[in-house]
Amino acid sequence: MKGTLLALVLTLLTLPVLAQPASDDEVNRVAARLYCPVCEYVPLDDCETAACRQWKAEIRHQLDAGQSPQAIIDDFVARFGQQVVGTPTDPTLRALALLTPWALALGALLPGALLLRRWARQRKTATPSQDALEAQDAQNDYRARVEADLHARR
Amino acid sequence: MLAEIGLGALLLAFTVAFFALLTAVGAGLRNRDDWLRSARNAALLTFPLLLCSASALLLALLNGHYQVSYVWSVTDPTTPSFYRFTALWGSQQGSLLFWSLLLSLYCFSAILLSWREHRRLMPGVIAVTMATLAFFLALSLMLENPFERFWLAADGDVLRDVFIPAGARAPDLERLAATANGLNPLLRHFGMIIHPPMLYLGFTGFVIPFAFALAALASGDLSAAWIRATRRWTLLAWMFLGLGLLLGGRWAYDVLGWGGYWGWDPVENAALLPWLTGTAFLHSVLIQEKRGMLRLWNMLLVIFAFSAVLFGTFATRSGLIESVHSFARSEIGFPLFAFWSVMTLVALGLTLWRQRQGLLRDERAFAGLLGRESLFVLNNMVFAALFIAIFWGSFGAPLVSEVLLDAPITLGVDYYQQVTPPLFAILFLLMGLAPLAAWGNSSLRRMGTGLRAPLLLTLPLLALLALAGMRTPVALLAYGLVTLAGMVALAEIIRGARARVHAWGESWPQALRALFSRNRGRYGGYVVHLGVTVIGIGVIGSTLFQAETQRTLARGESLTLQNYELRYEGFNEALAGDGRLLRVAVVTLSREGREIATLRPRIDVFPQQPMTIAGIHSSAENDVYVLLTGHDESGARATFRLTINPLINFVWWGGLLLLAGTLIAAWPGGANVATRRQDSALQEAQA
Repeated sequence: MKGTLLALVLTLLTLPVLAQPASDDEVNRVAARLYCPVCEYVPLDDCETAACRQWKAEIRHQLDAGQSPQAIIDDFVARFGQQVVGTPTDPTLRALALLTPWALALGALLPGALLLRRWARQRKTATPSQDALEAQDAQNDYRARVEADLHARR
Repeated sequence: MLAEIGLGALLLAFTVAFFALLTAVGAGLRNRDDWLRSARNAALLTFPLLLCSASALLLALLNGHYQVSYVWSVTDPTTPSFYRFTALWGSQQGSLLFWSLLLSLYCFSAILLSWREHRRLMPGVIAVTMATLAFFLALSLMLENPFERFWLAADGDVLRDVFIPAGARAPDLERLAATANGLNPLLRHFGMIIHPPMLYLGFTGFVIPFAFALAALASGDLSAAWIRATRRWTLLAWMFLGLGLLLGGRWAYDVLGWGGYWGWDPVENAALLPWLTGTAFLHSVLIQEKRGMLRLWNMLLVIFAFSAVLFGTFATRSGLIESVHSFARSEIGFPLFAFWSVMTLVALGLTLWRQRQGLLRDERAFAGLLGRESLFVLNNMVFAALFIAIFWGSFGAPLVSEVLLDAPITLGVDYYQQVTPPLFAILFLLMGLAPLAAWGNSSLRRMGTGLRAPLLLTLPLLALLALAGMRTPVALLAYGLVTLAGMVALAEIIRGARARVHAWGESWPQALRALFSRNRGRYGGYVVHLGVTVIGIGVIGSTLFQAETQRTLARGESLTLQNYELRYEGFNEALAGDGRLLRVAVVTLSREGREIATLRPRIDVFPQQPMTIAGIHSSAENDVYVLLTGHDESGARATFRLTINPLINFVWWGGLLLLAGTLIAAWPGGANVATRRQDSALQEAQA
């Protein structure tokens, strides 16, 4: 029993020493979700400014200290604001960012839907035959050609 | 002397453009043909004048006239001639002048080509194009003058002014040359010779459809004339803008060193918005041409396309957005915003007025929900939704959250990857269905028959992909939709040619040639669809299956990714002729144990900033993209980022197809309507 306890204590004590430091890939995976504080709209993993190198070193440090990627991102957001992430983490801002375009798009789609509905109603009341449409087409084309000839002669 | 010549020509161009604007308005109001001819002559004169002005600036750049502050800011004595040439559009003042030059070229061509055929619309066309040109020339003259020079005041202060200030003298030219700024390192790329001109040709080209639309609204001549006049111009502007976007993507891929080509940056998006609007218009205009429908909607699309151009220009050039693509903060922001607002409001006001008069009413009723009209309307609705989502992400949300909620936010790639894929999926689906639907009314049976062959080609391809190990449902769905759209376009081309082979006994090459020359719009459009399909294949591959790793290696060490191995061989430094220090790593790339390439990723150290230039091994299957992201003093250890971009070259190849298709569609001539109808009937009969 004593032996088992001693082994457990030794294991726990040596764990931080044996823990692997974070790899570049692990750092980049977190950095890819953050944005450069200097160059707007450039993800941190793609940016080589001094500020970004410093942030990436900080991410590595936090990963080495055992922090989860989400905890690191939350920490950066808490310190530097919502603009450091590609989509806000704050629920209100997130909803505003992600739902508004759909609401606006639906608003824009409405005229199109109404148009289709109006067309469908018009069709019920008076559907011109295909022959009539073709005849009208031919007449329009004829008229267009006559107009073009007249312009050319002017 | 060059500065005086350039400035004089610029001033004259502004005066002449303003004169043309006034006389064109007068001619329109008083119906005076002599005034109109005068306006035309003045408008035509703006192009040679601006050519003279831009040539003077170009000569100043090529000959190192560093007293001109623009020359000093974008070149230095080590700048090679090639980059001295591209420096013409390398910064705000020069690029504004270049913008005006291209605008005047469009006006010149449109007025010359449409003068006889569209005489009634000419007062409006000249007035709108000249108002736009005069505005941009005023910006050049008053706020961003490319001919400002350095002067040395009596008290030793260095001044910048167009004319010599009292008591000042010209500074020592050798000293000016020694302190010259040089071109922004980001712009030292071969693509810079062609990317900005293409983009500007795209942007400025949208002024012509807008001018014809406003002329039609102002004159009340809302027959098909303005549509006939504008379609080809829109196609041209759309093609240049698309090429500009693709070349911009290639520039980003080569120069920005992040392994991608599209970052959903607001400046990139600002150029994408008019392209999306133009694409919607090029589809819906067919409905107006063929059926006399969607007249109001087409008018709005033309207005929004140009409005998006002006807004994008404002966003990029005002300093509203900071980006690798944008210009420095400038005073032209407010005037640009005001001009954008006025032009958009005037255009919308005129549209509303004519709509109330009933002049924009559709000529025909709708014939069926499965008809091509309905599918085009759906296509336009999706384009509108895409426009809104991208505009919101780039400008709306950041502005609203900062101004109203005091919480600045960034909407990056994550946002666009959540919002846009469903919309693009619907667009590809419609791209596959719409060519199979008939004008007027169609039936599910007809569409099913048309879909049979494309589906028979698509399904085995998907099965092959699944057998090859692709199990991601999203990827299979995406490839399914994209391939189906391409197969439909291909099947339509083959169906048309086969009909001719059977009916007239032509050989296949003859039949294809006749098909394309007789109905360029339709078959050029199918080639464009094929191009978009190929681009789609590249985008899906490089987005969903990109693989990446980064490691620090000592010489002789290697890293592996998938079946590739990268070994660090050596490091050297060299000084380039233009003053940059090159730090070059030498790496060998092996695949499954076989050496396939030696790559030299490097860091170019300019006085202003370092640039990471990738070493790329390109094949049809993928690009292996190697970046040197860091190294120690001696180069004994270096950090590499290795990215595998599957199918990325399809994006560029698709671009070439897109260009070919647009050129076919826009090429003048072709068969008349009756012949095209005869061909369609033949095809129907064969089907």
